[in-house]
Amino acid sequence: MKNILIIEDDRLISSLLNFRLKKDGYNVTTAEDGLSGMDAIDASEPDLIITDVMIPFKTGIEIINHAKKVYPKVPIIVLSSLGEEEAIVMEAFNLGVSDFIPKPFNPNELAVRVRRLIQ
Amino acid sequence: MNELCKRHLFKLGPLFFFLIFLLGNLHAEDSLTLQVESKLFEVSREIPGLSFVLEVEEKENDLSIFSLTKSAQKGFWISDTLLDFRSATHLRDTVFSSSGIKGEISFLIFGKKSEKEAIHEFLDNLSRNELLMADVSSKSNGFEEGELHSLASKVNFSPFYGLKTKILVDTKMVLLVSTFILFLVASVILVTIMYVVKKRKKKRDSLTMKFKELSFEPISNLLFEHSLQELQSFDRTKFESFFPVDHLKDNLFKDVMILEIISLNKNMKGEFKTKLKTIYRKLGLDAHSIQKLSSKKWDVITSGIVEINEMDVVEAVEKVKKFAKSENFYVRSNAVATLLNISNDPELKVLVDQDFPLSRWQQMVYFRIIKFINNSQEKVKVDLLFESKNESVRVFGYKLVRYLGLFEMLEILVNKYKNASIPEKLEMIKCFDAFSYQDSLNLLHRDLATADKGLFLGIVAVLKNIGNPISEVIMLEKLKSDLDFESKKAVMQALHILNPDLLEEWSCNAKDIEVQQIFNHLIDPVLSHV
Repeated sequence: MKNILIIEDDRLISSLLNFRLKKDGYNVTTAEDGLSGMDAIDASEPDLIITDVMIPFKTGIEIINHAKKVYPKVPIIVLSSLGEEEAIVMEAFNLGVSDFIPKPFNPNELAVRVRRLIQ
Repeated sequence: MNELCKRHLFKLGPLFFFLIFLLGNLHAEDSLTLQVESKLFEVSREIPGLSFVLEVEEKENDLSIFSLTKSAQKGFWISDTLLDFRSATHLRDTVFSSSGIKGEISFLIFGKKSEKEAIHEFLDNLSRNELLMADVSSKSNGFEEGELHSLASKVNFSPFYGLKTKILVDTKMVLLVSTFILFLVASVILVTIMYVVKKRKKKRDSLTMKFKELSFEPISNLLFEHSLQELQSFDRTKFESFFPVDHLKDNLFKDVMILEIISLNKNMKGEFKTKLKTIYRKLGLDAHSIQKLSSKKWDVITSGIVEINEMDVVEAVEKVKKFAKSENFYVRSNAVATLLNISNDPELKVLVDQDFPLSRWQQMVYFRIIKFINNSQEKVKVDLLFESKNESVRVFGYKLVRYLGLFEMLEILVNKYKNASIPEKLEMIKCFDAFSYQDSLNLLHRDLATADKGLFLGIVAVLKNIGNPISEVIMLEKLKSDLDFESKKAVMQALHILNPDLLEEWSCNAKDIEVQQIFNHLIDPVLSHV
């Protein structure tokens, strides 16, 4: 079973994605802030990471940097509000993230992207 | 000789000391007698249990004429028990003056014969216990003080200056005690209220967390396990079967559900938005939001309006309308935003009728909604805002012309310019500038004569971008007049853009030092942008 790590401070979205991805047969771990997200990256050996750009204690960019150091080949999907700075999103892409999904988003569309990346 | 003296002194020494002791004792006895007698003269009547008997030693004469009776003891005559020491001494003196025999007064305490020392001690005890004053010489109200004390000793003790009486008599003390009590009561009430509020908040927070957990799974189930068609076909009972029945009637649970649905609605798109709205309505949460409008608390009303806005509860439009002119800023702002969003009124009537001035924050919120309506639904009729009685609404209307790119409105603006107020004119000229509207130049030239510095600078800034040769001439004429430094600089900057040669020619001939300095600044390649 593939492991997916969700780092998202909005508990509702995180729970909803958890529900949706578990439905597709993935093993899902969630973290609500940057620090626990970093720990989860080290501990859970994820096959895919979904992370928000704006999260407490650490920035999404720091999370991506860390993930890329530990697991260079693990695909990362960035979730972000449209209002957030374009520069941050561009920086995330430069660091090697696989996909970017702006909020508001369609969970089914996200599930399809996850399936495609994890294969 | 010395030895002999010493021996005599040795023998006589103790005798000498004994004599001194006797003398001292005699003196002490006399002084004690005097002390006791002088005191008894004054207070003997007031001392309960104290009485006196006169004893006279006479074997030959009959002393019965002095009311003395013969004692069982031979040669002794005794008087009746006397309560007053004065009477006893009087009787003694009478016997002495008539017969030359001096009697002795005996002291009785509660009928028992006592020595003078005992009487002295008894009197001292009374004095120490404040039942008898030691020095009683003054009189008041016809009573001797000693009498009063003795009388007082016959009743049960109660302090004369009782605490209760003292506090009630002293106004300052009453005020102080009242203030202290008030402070104490207020503190207790405050602490109690804080405790209750904190406890309620804590309970509410824990319940909110619990309800969030409870609501998440049913919502996820409905969103991911059922299609939109299925959801629309479900009745309320079917929907309620997904949720904990006990909590569905709880207002807090409804509030939590609404917040969760709104939060998801903001983050979801496509079919999920419609699904969330279906859940909201089928569970009757729209009625709960509408119900909030009847509350007396402004924050509850505001949250109700926000919910109606977020979930597009169109049927609540009429109820929201009455809050569009509310005195409360938040209620009013949200009501207007909601009406703009859900009332489907491209004429923006709710804005036209606004009595309160629009803040910049309100304008920003309304602009986002109007922009959305203008782009996705129907073209809004911004020109109707120009007819509002509210100046800030008219100004907002002119801003919308610029922001929404409504260049077809410029002609209307030109017609309105003449009678417009300064803030309106300032907004209008920004529109002329934004669209480089040359037809407005005549108006702008005419208004260069304005006394309002802000408007003057605004027009000069516009002319810098869209001005023509006539503008150059007029501005040059203005430079010749008595302009302040800032206006002079703005005009010269405009002329420098429009016609640098003209400015150079004029500046070189100008006698004004400021003009020279500004011109040098403008042509300096380093300073020109500073």
